[in-house]
Amino acid sequence: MAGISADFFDGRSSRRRQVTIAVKDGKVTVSGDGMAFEVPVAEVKISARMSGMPRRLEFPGGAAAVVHDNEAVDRAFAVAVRKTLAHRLESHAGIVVAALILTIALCWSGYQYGVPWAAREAAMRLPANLESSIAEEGLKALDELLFRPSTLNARHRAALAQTFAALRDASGLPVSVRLELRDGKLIGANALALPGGIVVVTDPLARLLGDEDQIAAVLAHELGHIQHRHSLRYILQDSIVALAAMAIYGDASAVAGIAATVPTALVHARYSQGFEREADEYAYELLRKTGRSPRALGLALSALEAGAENGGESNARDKSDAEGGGVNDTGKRPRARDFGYLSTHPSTRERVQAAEAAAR
Amino acid sequence: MYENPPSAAASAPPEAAKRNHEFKFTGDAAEYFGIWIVNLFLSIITLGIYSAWAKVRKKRYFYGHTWVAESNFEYHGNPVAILKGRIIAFAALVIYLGSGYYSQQLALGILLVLSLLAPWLIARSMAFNAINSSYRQIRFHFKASYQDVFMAIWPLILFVCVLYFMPQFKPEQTRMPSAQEWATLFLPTVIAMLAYPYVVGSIKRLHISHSAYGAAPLTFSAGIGQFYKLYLAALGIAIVGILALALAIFVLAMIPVVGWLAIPFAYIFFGALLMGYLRARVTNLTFNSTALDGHVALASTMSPMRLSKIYFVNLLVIVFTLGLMIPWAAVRVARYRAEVLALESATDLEAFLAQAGREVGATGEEMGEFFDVDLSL
Repeated sequence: MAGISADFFDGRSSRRRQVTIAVKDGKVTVSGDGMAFEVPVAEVKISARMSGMPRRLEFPGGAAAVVHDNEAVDRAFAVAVRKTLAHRLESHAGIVVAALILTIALCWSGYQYGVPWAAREAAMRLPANLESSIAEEGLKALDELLFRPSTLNARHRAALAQTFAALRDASGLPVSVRLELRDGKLIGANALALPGGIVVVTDPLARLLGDEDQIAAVLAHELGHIQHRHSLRYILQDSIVALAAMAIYGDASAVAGIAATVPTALVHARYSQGFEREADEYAYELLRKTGRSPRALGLALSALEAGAENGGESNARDKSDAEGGGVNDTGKRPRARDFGYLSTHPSTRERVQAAEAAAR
Repeated sequence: MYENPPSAAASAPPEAAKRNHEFKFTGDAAEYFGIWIVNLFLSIITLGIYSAWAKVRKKRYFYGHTWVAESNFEYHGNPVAILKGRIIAFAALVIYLGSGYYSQQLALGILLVLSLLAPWLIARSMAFNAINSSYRQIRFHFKASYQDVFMAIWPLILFVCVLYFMPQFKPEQTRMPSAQEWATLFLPTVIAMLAYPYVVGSIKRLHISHSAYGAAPLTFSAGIGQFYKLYLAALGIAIVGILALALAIFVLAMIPVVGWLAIPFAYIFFGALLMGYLRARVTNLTFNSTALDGHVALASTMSPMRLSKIYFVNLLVIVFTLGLMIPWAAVRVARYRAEVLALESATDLEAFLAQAGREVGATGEEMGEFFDVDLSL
């Protein structure tokens, strides 16, 4: 058999020598450039094959030969298939295409089902008091920044408290879950669920929804956010997506970091829509349980939207949600609420229709 | 596709070949795509465990396809060592994020402890990378003490200390913040901005001047002042760029639909321009100040405009393919970086290498101790 030509380095200096390598009877012979030696094949360490890069044959004592002809090395040394497995996977067109399709499928299903599932399972297993300190702190901060004490009269307040208590008892949530009333000028007619179990209703919302069933529908929706622990799941989902995006995009240098923000924003919008639907469904159930019609939620949403279009003092918007303390869309103009997929809420019309369907 | 570099210098004129040796990157986007997607797939189905092996294959690919003077570089990192480092880094991240959920102050305390460990971690990871890189069967080395690294990154540690010990600022609606409150609000940012060029420059200096190729030490001649000059110019570009960007967005916002859709492109264009300028200038300054044993110098002639253009196209393509063209983008950058890099030797390079690149012994035992913490993630 003809020898394999190679660059030889002795491992003590970076001098390059051109040599010929031959394998015969369990021995490797290296010769050329004024040198010649022989070592048993078993003592030669062959680097794993990768792309068209030259192979390195390491000899005892730190010397190595660099060979460009990968096929010749595999043949001459009868390199086991196992040793070239990664290279075979990476260079086989069919496997690369299969890996591509499977990776896309995995990312898609992870985004669709995996991340929400993992966050839900984790959130439901974490102790409930984890969130309670966040609720108290959050309410304190909101009181300083946004809220004024409620100006509703005592009778109105008592009626709301009674409605809330009845709903909470029917829902089976602990008594620590409570209702707070506030006059929130900046956020208009709004209701929020703080993580850990505080529902805040603003005066404009209480005034706008005169009908007791409609108020109950809004409260039931907020209790849905608490029951399903949406704020905690939101934080968990965001962390999982951010870590995954970092792992995939981080591979490509910091430049791709800018690109990584795009999927994160899309994911953000999608997940909070899912939460709103889940809270709506919970509300239908709770309304039925307390002898009301799910239609009340649809009527409440329509009333809020009408209030928003009349503008002015009430400045009502679609009800807010539980994310990150519930004020995340404060800066948004009321008109921006119905941008479909990119909005953090499903469109009001869609929700009203869903409520009508649930009432049937 | 990949082409074999000539294994002998026979084709080149002997005199020119001796003096100036250009780097060359022979990787191919389609080929690297196969490696990348298999890496990604295996990393996902092993819940991230394969990522350590993936990193080794990625580094082997980029090192192995980088050639100079008819030889390529090689990477020898042990995936198990990298996996250990990643598990430690992941645990630290979870502890930091988890503690932030309870108390911001506790999280900052943990960050402070981590930043005090940072010099040691940086020294270890630089040593790991050096010892696992070789050229012509001679390994690189890096040796620096905790103190050496601390002196290079102390402003970062100061930054975390200020965050930790500073009173928390609470906004109140009723009045304007006092002078002291303004100070606590902006002090960390001011420290970070003033110290940034120092940290970048001193980390480059630390990295190179504490490294060696075999027994031949590497030297670094640039002063920190040169980094400040460079970042000052970048600040000027950023200010002009932000004004231009604001104007562009203002104009584009008035053109319905087409203009609105163009706004993200203006943003990407600005990002690529600034990043391209900075990376090109920092790369040139760093390489052009690096020499091996005083005989062989590195020369980098990267053009900020060319690099910005490469970044801009890369970003657009990555965004529109949801990341699938990352391998293509990575190969493009590697090819350009190699294209503009050369070794300049005062004497015959082969003769010098045969002499200078002596291996220092007894490195085998140390290698097992080191672990990679991959601070770059």
